[in-house]
Amino acid sequence: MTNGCCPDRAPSLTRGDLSRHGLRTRRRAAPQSKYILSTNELHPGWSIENFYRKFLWLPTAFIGVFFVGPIIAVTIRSFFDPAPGFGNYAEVLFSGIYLQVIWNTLGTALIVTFLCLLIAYPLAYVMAKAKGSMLAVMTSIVVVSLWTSVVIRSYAWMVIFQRRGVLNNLLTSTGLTDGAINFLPGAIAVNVGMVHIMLPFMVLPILSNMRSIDTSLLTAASVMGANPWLSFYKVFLPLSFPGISAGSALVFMMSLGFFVTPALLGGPRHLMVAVLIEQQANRMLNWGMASALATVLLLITVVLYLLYLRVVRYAGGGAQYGR
Amino acid sequence: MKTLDRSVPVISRRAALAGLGATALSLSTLDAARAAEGRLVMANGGGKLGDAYKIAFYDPWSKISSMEVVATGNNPAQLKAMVEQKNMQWDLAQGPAEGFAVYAEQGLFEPIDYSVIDKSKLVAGVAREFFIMTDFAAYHIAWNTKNLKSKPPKNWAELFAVSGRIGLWKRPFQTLEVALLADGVAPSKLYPLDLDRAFSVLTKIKSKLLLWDTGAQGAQVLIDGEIDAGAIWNGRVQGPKDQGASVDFHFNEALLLSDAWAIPKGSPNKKKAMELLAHSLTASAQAAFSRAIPYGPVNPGALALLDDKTKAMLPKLGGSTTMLNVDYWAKNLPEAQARFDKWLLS
Repeated sequence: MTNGCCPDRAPSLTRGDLSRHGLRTRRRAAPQSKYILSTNELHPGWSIENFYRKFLWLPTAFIGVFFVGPIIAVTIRSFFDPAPGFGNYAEVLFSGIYLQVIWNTLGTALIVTFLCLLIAYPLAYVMAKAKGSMLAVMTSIVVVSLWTSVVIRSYAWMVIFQRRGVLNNLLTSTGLTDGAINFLPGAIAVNVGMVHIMLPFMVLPILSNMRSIDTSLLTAASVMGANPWLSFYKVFLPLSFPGISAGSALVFMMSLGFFVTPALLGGPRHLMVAVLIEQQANRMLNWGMASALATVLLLITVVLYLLYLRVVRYAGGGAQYGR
Repeated sequence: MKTLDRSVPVISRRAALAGLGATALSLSTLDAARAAEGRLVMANGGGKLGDAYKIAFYDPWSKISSMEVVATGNNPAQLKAMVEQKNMQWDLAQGPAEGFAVYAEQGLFEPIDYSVIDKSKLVAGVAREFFIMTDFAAYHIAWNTKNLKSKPPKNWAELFAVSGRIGLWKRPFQTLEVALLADGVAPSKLYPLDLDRAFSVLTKIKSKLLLWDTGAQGAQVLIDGEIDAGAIWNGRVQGPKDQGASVDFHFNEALLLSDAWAIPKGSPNKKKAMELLAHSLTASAQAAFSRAIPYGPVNPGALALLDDKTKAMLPKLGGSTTMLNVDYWAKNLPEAQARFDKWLLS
């Protein structure tokens, strides 16, 4: 796949949405006109599909101007700054550190996604069963953490994990450890910090999916003799796959671009691609290199997303038909 | 935008584009208003340094020139973007001298007008073609007084030999210098830096190193006792020490570094910016600055205006201290940074 693929891919998605939308409304509108007055006859020159299409111009223009345009500019820059050619990409591929950092980034994102899923699934399950004010309280606890800045939350974890911090005081005073443990910088601190920040993005999609699952299917399963575990495993779990996959994709993709938390809580092993991009873009002002790194990260994300779509289409299809 | 929303049902491509154009136009006229007559836009790092600038430089100069000084953030990427697009919003900018030396190489600054600024009144070497160093800060040895009750490190060699945890800045500049000083390199023979030697010194103590990212973080790990000793900037620990925090420090073998001021290329108020810069380098303004924040003046005339208590807090040239060589970093930063990243991952 060439590097130019990603900017091409994004506009074609929106174009696809437009035409799909037009197609559907046209099909629906045609048979109607025979029996009832179409909006065209009531208001000449006005039709619902035209209305919808016009509705899409503003967001399309916005995405084109503020998202697709800059991405194309960044990609072009990666080939021409400081000199035309593949110099920046050669540096990314052969200097050693960049590939290692990309590998670290993927690993960290994968671990964080897995841990988020492990915590979020039972949490969302309990929340989906909760009713009324209990649900409102639980949802607000999940959502409120989104209101605090990532920097503040990362500093808060520093305070908890440091040598004279809450956690170490607890460990030493209860005699669980002899002396203070150096959590900072380290894998535990980074993973806890990132999972804490990412958790709502996993909980919310799973919760909304679980709440839409028809509970009579579970009743039917138990009527037919399934024990609670079996009805969960055979009915509920497959039906919740769309939520799991949406949440996992969201958390994984967002973790790939993480910056503040690994920089504050992590050691050298947690040097993330975003940190190197910031270093090149903001301090070295080497925008060609920063663009090349950003393009590689984008390419990886797009490839993973396409793979994910394939997997999900398979898994999701199974879930939708309750297989 | 309001009329645009109401007209959504009849919006055409042309109307949408016109709306976007109008928005862009109104945004750009807003920007134009910012750099208008009567206001001087100064990009600085904010924090305590920004406060000191305001007290010592901006406010007094505003009274003389009847021009308001508006402070804004000093993100270097923004500077480069504005130079590239020939739409400079800043009149004057401040940043670390080793960074500004790199940006000067990239052509982001106007040359300094030395007919307005009297070079002869300043310490030799601070007045450069494209920027002027405006103060002396120190990257020095500091320790937590609860963790290290006796025998605090007297020099870099002793700091690196501390058995507990040591904090250093997660950057090649300053940190590579002190690594070489710790290994016994004479200050006069420090530059050009022996990178191989510096990294091998750092590798030896890597297991007890905690590398911090920002000054706030560096001071916090020191004051909270997360590390036992380390290097930090004096502006970050003087205040906490005075307020009784468990931190102490000295300037023995300290590395001196500077903030620099420069006029960004295409500055809308170049002449006035040069005047503010000239005013900020006068002895009285420099003395007021050193009173506001413990950074040394680049105009030696300011020292006569300061009392002994203030002078004792300032990093001083000469003695055991070494001045950071910005020319070295202007040329060698990319290579040193790449090796530093590689060392981090090793």
